[in-house]
Amino acid sequence: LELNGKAAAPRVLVLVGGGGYYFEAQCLLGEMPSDVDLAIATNDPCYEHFLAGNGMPTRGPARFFRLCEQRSTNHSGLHVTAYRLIKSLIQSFGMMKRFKPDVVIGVGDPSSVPLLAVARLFGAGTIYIETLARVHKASNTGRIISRLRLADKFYVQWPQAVEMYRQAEYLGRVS
Amino acid sequence: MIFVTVGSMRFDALIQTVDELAGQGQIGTDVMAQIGNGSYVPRNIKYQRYFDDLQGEMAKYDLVICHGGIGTTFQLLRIGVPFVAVPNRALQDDHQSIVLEEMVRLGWCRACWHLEDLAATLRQPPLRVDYRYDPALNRTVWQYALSAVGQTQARQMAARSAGDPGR
Repeated sequence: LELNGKAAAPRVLVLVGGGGYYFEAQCLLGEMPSDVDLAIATNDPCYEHFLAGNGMPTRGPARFFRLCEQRSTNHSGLHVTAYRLIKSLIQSFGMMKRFKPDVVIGVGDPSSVPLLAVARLFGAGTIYIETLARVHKASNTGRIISRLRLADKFYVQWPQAVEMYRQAEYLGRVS
Repeated sequence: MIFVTVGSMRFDALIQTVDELAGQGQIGTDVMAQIGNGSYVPRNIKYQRYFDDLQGEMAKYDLVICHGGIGTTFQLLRIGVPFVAVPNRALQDDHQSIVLEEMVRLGWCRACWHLEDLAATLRQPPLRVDYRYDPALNRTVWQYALSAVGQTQARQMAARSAGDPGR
């Protein structure tokens, strides 16, 4: 797209979770075209590693935003889940205001729900990639994103996983 | 040489089992363990809590024993090191077992469903697979992202000029 005769670098915000989600997001970033203006939202507890530039294949500088962990366990009560959700929504709002992404991509992590919801609200394009860890049993994260249609594009990573959600597509894996 | 890894989680039961097998002389003592923040400290094998370059480290070994997490298992498939995966059933929905069942069905690795069977699983010959990474998904995602960018920017510009009739 030409803006004032100069092509504007597309602004993409990618959610990088912890553990397996971290690996999957890393695989996706490894194929990123070089002309992207990238920002990363992360809830990884080892967040400081990012700042030291450890192991993030971001070609060129990327901006970082911090998100609280959304992962709910059986031990955490409803009030904890609700508190984290509200906190993530507020943090996501801040990111949209400051970075103004054209597209937001979530990979597996539960934080994809608040992040993609707010991205939608701001008119950004949204993409969700269900984690490799889900073969034939739907995740709550995937279910909510699918039901509320929070993603313009919804990809799964196992052929049989297309059965789990409406509008899910299988094109292969991130790794 | 065998490498044992717990990745970013902790999996004391796995480390302890491998340590005991090494102590009994069942798997030799040339074993290196990455134990994360586990509280069990091995006595019979070498260990380190974390590695800066875990993938590079794993590539040096003949066999890796790991949990069923997708980060570790798919990295191992990519670098072509045979592995035996032990599902960490304590995690949400026991998703590691489900993924491992599928990986075993596809012939990508061996799984050890119960730690007491680990010695027997390790006696089987290592499974070598020729896994190929296909960049189709990653490339499509970026392509779609870039095409959506044009639409978003056009929409934002339209909104801007609609609110600014003087232009």
